[in-house]
Amino acid sequence: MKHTHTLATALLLCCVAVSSQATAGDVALHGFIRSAYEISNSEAPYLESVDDRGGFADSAAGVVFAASLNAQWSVAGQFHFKAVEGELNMDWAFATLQLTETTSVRFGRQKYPLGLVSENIDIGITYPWARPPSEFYRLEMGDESPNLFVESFDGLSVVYSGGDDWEFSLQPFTGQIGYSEGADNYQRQMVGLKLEVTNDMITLQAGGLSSKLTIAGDLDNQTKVTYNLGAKLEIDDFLAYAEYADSTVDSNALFESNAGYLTLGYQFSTLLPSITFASVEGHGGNLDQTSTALALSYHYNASTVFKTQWKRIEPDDPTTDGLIEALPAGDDNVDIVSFTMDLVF
Amino acid sequence: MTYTTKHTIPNTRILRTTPWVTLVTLALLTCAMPALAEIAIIANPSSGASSLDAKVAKKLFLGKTKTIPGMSTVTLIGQIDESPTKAEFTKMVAKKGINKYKAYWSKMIFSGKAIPPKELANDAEVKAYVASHTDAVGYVNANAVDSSVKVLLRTP
Repeated sequence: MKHTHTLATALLLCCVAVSSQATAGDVALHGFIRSAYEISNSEAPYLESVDDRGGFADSAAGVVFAASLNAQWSVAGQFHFKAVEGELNMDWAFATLQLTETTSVRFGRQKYPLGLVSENIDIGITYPWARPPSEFYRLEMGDESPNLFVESFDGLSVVYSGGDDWEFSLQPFTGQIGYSEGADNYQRQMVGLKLEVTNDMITLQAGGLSSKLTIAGDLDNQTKVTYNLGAKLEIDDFLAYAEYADSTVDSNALFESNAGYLTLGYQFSTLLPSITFASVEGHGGNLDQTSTALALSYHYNASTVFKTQWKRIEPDDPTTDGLIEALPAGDDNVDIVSFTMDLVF
Repeated sequence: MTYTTKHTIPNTRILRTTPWVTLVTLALLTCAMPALAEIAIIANPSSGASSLDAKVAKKLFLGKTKTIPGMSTVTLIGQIDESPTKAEFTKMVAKKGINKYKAYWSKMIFSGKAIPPKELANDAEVKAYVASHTDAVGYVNANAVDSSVKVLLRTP
């Protein structure tokens, strides 16, 4: 798969060129390492990568650079290596123009903003799971499901924020995402809006996205509309996440779908046990599945977290391909065990 | 009656001893509790800022604002995770434990939303940096403050 790198590459060159105006000491460099081992008790692969042979497909590493050029302009970018892709990419790179104290504009390749953890999907110290619920967050771009994809898009967004004890932000964005490989061409032209309200304990998010699709097959020239709602609570040591998304593709009922999850956790000193219930429905029932996951995070220090997770997946119809391929005859569920180490520096 | 008497005497003893028990318990708790260090938000003496509201300080060190009254550009100076001053600062100013503070900043950094504070090793390094940079704002243990820097806020 060859992603369209043109805009990102141009922006990277601009960023590097403009960054050269700043002294070396003004460029902030940070990185992350995510080592993730997952194994299931089935030969049927989950998300095309996890089966009974085990593997490190969900591992990743990245380096971020950021520089403030003056009071108005700043640039940032991230080099990213994903084990599942096996190559180094420019995950995102954009310039920010601070128009006023409350309003900024971003130009370039940016992380997809909808969803509570989309923008930090690889940074495991920021959430309680070994892997965010794949019914909702998914590595691949899936047009047959409401999954909030985690790729970056090329375009622009405006961020308006304000408030005091209760802060809010409004982020309209537009751009495109896609790839081409020979005759295989995929493009998604997007217009979306994210609204977020937060205080010290609660984050509420609502979003909407309209995408014009260019892809061979039934979805060509169709418009996909996705709405999402999310809430995160951090009250003392109690933690909760809940998100829901619903998608429609023009009037084609086959592609109507929805997904959601609920996570509850409690912080005991350095340990954070949590339980997650998730489900997805769509594509005429092929995607339908529910899951339950138990996770335990151990904060070794502020920068390092070790996690283990057990997840049981129950497809509604084990004989069809969904997020997990058709199960061997007689099987009706799959267990996945994960071990991860997340580090930021 | 015997039953009642047997229970009346111990209760009376409890009432008589309660003030002593309370005093001793409070004294022990007071000794056991670590003293909260006072944190000072500092700037260069020649900066245009004269004071800082606690809410603005919190927003500043969470990357939610880039300027403060009297300073149109601010370079934030923090401390490394191992610093005891940082642990106090994150609790008292940012209102988060150090793990949540780190997770918060990781979200900001790895989505390109903000540039985090430059991290120095201890109070002395922060004070020296702020004393030599007019756009710097940092935090130190209030005991470390001297005339080389200006205090914008003391907390608690």
